[in-house]
Amino acid sequence: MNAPRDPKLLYERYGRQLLVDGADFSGQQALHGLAAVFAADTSEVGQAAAQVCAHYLVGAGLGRAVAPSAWAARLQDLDPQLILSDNPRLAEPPVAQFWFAQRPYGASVDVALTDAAQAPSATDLDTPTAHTTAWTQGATGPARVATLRLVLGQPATADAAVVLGALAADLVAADVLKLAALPALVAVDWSDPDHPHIEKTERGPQQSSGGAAAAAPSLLAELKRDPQVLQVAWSESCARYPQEACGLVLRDAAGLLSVVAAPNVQDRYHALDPQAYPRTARTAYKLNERLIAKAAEQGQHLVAIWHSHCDAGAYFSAEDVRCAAPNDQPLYPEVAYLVVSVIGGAVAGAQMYHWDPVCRGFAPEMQPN
Amino acid sequence: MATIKIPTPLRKFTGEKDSVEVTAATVGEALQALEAAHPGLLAKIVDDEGKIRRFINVYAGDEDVRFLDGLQTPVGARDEISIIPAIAGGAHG
Repeated sequence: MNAPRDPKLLYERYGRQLLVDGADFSGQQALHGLAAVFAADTSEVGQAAAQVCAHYLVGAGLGRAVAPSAWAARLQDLDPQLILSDNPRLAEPPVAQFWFAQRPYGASVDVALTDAAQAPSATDLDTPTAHTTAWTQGATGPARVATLRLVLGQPATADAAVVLGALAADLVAADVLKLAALPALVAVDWSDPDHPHIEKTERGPQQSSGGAAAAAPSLLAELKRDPQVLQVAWSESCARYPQEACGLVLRDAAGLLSVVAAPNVQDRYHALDPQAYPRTARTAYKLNERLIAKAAEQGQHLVAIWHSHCDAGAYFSAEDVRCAAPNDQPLYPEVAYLVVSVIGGAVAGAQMYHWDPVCRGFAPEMQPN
Repeated sequence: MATIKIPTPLRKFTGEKDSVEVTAATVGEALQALEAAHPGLLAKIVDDEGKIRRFINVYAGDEDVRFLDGLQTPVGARDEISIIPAIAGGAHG
């Protein structure tokens, strides 16, 4: 913990908040004692929203911040006494963790806020997903733990980033200042951009934040623990290039994950009925779904479906969405989708997607920034 | 009797049963028998023109009936018919 500042200086700098009913000096001190970890995906809206959130909270009297070093000058300008780091391991509790991301349905932020008694481990702090999950799973004890998903509908513009960042900052500040408890889930209706309507769903702190991507441990991170497992998908994706490769991710009774490759039968369907199946394996995949039953007979449970995109990013395309959830109804709601980007015959990246029942869309798993 | 395997999303029509046994000579007859026993199911599998929906696959054994005789594919007493949601997708919108 950093040394407490002179209370009088604190009051002079942040006294405006003390004018708000219920925000007393102890609340301001609590905000000063808080560390916030600001993380985002690489999207413009995610990065912008995270910076807005950081600016708001630092301006409001946040004591410690973990943020990219590129933001340091602006944040230190807002508060020269701010303790700033770009290493999440240095964020000693209490901590608020923010994860901003662009999603197929707009933009969102996942927030986890914990008291010192419920501190995550240093390892947890390495990944926002594990971080949030650790708090969620640890929420059975008496200590107060809160998680939040704030969702902003389309469009994911610069204006949306400001609204999202400011709302996330306000909600956390209000919680720390003892004005209002952090709700578990907030969805913002963007249909009226001038007056975003906030729909709030209250949940107990013992429950997860609702979104599968926020609550579930990172499946991709789990797969990456054993490089040999994912190598199956990488090798097959490169071998099949410039056609899409595909396969299954299975978990056995002991909990061990395996990746299997499956023939891409898209061309067979295209040859049979090019009108119904206009794409070839160059830009589409289809696998024999009977493989799932065969795996189940051997005690293997389907946890994810993987496929590659040739000379395209690891995004969940409109075609992926249309096939995985026709008419907005997911065919395999409990199953994740891994997309592998292959550029010029080499694996360039991968991203895991989960169906989000709250937002009714596929959301990428949170990964380390 | 042939056995029809029901996928999880459609089990609300079968009282959560994962398989239904029917007496039928073809896949089409089997699906009609399934509809008679569990009304509402057939419309989820075939469209208004009687074609198997794009995102549904009907397998006779290990083969998609699209590559056999479609709904006219004969079924034997011990055959297994599987209704399985499609696994498909692709890059570029």
